[in-house]
Amino acid sequence: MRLGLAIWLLVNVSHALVPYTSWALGPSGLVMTPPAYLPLAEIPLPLTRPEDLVWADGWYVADSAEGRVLKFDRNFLPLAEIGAGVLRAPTGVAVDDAGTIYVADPARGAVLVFDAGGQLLRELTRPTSALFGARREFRPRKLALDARGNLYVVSEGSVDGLVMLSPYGDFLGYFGANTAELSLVALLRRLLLSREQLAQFVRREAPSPSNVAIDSQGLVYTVTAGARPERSIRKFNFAGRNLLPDIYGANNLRALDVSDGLIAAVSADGHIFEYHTGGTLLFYFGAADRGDGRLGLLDDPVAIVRREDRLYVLERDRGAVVIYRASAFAQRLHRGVRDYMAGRYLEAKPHFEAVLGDYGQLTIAHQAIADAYFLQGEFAKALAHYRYAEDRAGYSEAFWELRNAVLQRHLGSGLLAALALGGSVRLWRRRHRRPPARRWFSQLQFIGHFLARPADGFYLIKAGEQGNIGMALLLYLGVIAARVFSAYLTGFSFSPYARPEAVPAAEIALVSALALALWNAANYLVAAISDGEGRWRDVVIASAYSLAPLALFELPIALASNLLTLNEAFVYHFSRQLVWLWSGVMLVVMVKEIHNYTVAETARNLLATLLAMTALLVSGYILTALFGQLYDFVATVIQEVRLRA
Amino acid sequence: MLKGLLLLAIGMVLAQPSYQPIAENATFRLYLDEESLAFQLRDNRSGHLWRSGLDEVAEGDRLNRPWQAFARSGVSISYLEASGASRRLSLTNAATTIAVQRQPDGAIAQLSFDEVGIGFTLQLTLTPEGMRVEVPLESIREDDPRFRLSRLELYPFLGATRGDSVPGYIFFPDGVGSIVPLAETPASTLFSARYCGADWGISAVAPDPQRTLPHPLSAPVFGIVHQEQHALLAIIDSGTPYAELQLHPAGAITNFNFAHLSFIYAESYLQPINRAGDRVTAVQRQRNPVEVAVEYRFLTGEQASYLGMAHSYRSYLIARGLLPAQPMSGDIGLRLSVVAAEQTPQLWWRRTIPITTAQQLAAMLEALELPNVQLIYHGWQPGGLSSPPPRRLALARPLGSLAELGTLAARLAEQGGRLWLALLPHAAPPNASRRELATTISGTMLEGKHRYLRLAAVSGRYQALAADIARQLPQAGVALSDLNTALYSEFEAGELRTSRALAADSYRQLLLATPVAVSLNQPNPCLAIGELFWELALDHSGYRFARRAVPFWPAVLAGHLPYYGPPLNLAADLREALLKHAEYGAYPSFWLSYDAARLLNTPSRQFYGTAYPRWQTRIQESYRWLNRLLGPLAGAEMIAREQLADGIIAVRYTGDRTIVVNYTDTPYQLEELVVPARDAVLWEER
Repeated sequence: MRLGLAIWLLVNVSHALVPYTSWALGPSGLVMTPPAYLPLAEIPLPLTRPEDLVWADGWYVADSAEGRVLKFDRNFLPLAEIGAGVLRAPTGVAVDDAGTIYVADPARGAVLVFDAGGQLLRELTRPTSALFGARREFRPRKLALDARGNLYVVSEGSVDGLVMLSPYGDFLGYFGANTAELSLVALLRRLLLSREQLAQFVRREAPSPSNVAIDSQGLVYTVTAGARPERSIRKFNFAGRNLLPDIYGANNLRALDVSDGLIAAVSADGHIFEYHTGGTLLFYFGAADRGDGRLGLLDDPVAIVRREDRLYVLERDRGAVVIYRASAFAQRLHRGVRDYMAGRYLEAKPHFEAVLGDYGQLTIAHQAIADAYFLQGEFAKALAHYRYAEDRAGYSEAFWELRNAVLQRHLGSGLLAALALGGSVRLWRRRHRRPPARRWFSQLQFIGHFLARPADGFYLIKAGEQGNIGMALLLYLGVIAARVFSAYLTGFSFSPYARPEAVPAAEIALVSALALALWNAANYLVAAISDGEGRWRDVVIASAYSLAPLALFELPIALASNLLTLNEAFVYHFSRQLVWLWSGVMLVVMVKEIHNYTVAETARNLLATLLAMTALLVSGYILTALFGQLYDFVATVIQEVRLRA
Repeated sequence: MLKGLLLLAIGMVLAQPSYQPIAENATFRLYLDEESLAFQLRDNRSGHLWRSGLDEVAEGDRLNRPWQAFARSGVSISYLEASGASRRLSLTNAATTIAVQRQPDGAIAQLSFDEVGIGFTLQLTLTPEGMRVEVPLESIREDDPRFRLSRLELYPFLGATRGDSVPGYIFFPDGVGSIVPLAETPASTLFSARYCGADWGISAVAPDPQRTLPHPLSAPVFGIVHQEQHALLAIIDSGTPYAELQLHPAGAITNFNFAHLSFIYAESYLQPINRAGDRVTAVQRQRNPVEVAVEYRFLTGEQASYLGMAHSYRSYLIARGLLPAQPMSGDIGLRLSVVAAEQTPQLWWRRTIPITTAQQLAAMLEALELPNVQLIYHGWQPGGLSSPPPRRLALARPLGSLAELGTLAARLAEQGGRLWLALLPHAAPPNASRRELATTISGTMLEGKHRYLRLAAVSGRYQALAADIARQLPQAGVALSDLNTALYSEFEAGELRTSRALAADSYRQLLLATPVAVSLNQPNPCLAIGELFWELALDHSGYRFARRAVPFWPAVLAGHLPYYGPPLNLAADLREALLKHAEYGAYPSFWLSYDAARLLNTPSRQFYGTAYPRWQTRIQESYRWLNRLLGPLAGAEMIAREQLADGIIAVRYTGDRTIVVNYTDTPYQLEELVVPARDAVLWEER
């Protein structure tokens, strides 16, 4: 058995089907990739409950069942036993460059320090400093060492963060606390309840970090089980501030490794995540062992270590180490990532191009290639890749450069052409008189008139002299179409949708139509019982005309956004807000004029309309749910009668 | 100590079996114990005595009373009560009536488990290769309506060993082949797998995007090797659709290594009773038509290995006309799977976009300049790759005309290859009527990757399409996918309409009667059409108790049938995959698409990395490299495999030719032969 394992350790050949799928971030979410890591071997260790695994010129494993730390050679053949008889149930190990071994033993409530030969040097017990907190317990579970020998200790239940100790056990302070998250319910509770009532609830405290690692630059990383997935891994600067953006994580991360410019983390359910040190997900793979018994699936992982191009995961229940090796594909991506993170964009580019061509669409590859092109001044190519990478800021900058070049080259001639065009249009207009207005044309003209003088317009509508249902429906259709098409046509820098396929067109159309229908129904009904003068026809037509700004201007703004960059975001956002505000004001005026209300009545009507819309929605929902239940009930009875008959 | 005494006492109380000689031929002598129907078989060539059951319990065996009875008995059954509860009875721990009738070459035993009213006939026949065991379907009796025969377990302890007392291994057909050492392994449970995959008509497999499914068992066999001197190979001759392999590595439950076949006659299942998902346990009403026939072959000396088993299985296939003794020579083949068309969403509807048109295919083949191209065209149908096959032959519009495809097929045939139209025969189109869709035992529609058709609908549609292809593209063939995993029984209101055995038979007839060439993508032990498949997995599923993958299938097929490995360009490491192809003698294959960038916005985006322009040179290089190694081996049989050093494998073929593969990063020297790092050479002894 041993010999067989040794062979697989020496030769990187996998003869087994990879039992899990591998994923990477691609356009609009995760995409499946070829295997990033291949399971190579599982090595049973001669212990029952290993808790931590560290490489420091030999493997060190904390054995909590037997109360010892075991040292193995590179092929996991046992070399030495450390701390037997002294340790009770160690769960964390760290080893410094001199071979000094630091062991976290929560059962003893201490960190024990052994020399390289296994002799106990000292025991770091609960700090006596007042700053540690009078009622805080010291139960060290995991620990990491920085270059100066300071210890960062994960202490059970410590909500203040990591306990920072000097090599001799002096308390240096807490480091890198998580923040408690305030939910809406908790916020309401806090607003409404008295202090005594509040005390009845369990206090919401920040989850304490579950594991810690330190990179070669001395930056501290933690994983926190129970935190939101986006915040489950944190990287702290020396001031204790988190440097990572929201990441693609999990709420059950157990352990992590930071080395070689990469972060690897493993979750309780056997998923392994790999990021670059900026927090961008590179790979996500692995799965839980649900009795499948296949190499590479994990049962109860508690530690992860990267060494060269292999990952070593410690399995607690099985008492074994599972070894994965990076595939050629992942190695190529890693080379690219290291160059890219070091700012060597041009060196990184060929690696990413190979990844992109041979293995699939990875956001990170597009991002790196885009940055390289940008650096080379090839902005058109950069633009395309930024778009795939969904990097709106990068896209906008590349676009600015392109637009700038066009403007510089053609601004003069463009202005001249525009002037000439303007002149000739005027001339043409003078020569050709306006044709006699047809009915539909006069209706269109009325929109212009209406927008200029809304009060008159409403009067004419009410008097039945202007506006008809057909035109109103056309306007509503215009609003819906403008909403849908502007979702497609807004420039990439401003659009929330990365690709046309991502636009939920049917949903936008349905929601818009529903909102319009609800508004009309609710407003008419409310007005009917509160002395409003408007007939339903007036409400429908006047509302439609009030929304004309949306129908007319939303699309042009969307089109114009294609020529803007994020530097001019103000222009885009302001003009959109203006159009919405305009329509909003028109609706208010509409309610006042059509129903002939005072200002106070108008406000009351608007509020009641909104409430009625909500009530209609809620009752619709309840009816659907009830009928669903009824259907279920009848179907179950029939099914059971059939089965038992 | 106390436990030891207890075990000893139990051992003494239990009657010792008495074996009587009942048959003999030139090679074997068969002894039978008429109480337990356990047998012993002496191999006259080596003098080795094979025991089918445990004769004595020893300390540390970890066998309780039911396990002991199971180990001693030749036959055990499981039965189901109306509640769905399952119990096992063995011949030595149940009230039974056994009548043995001796035959010139064996014996026929009528046996009955009296408590539950279940009985059947067991036939043992001595053959030149070993033994044949049969349980005819018509002999099965179920007299008590309260109890249903659920399983029949045959000779579970035949070839069993304690812990690591006997060196050797269990071979099982997982992927390319896999072996489990006869020793304590990290297994914690008994391993079991159905030979043709799970029957989706009874237990649907819920797809899990996080994990890959293990390989289905790829051949109806398993084997045990003792001391590299004595081997046993079991071949299921009949009853494969209902056979399950049970493999117990020492340490999982007991201290024994054993493997055996279990045949399934009825199962319990969960019947949903409402949409909320509440379920009750119910019992399958009709019995599965299981006609059990198992051949146990005994190998000795040099043949006592998985390679010997492969050779024995090969002769079995050839004798039954399931493997042609094709003379092969010349260049190796190249399999190209090409994406034709796919759908992309557009506003509210979907549009079919061409990925590789007929013209592009022609251009591709011209540029590649390689012979023997087997070109499998995927997604040629209207709607492209994610659409089910049409009823009549029609190409997706943007791909070109049938005439262009016909010209291409003719050209491929001239150069020793063939154009194949890929087909998922049982995938139901969205407009399929309810009567055409297969229903599971619990009354739900059979759904997996898509909905599935009933056998009747499949054959109607398939025949019409095949006739069209024969008429309009006579030089093309039909490449069927997924038939290796999807062989299901069909039910109607809980009543069995099409059994799995009938489905297998009908598919076999259907495929054999196809007027054009047919191929399957992977072997299916239930279909038993040896010559038709061609993609071999070149690995095993990686069960932790297994030691390694072994080239069982290559040793069966080499020299008789070309076989191709999985697509090289989808592998994580091309070089390593090529070395594995060289070791296993597998021909190369690739997944390609001409305009891969268009796949990005389609359901087949995982094929993005298949851009033909990027791979053209590498296809040529890979082909030429493998052709240099494997071309001269066409028609040669694989006879031995040896590990010369860590990562150095030598595979010997007939004609004194050996392939030496070096997986390591350093060159390897073998006498005057040098194998460069991560390379392979063909060594011909003169």
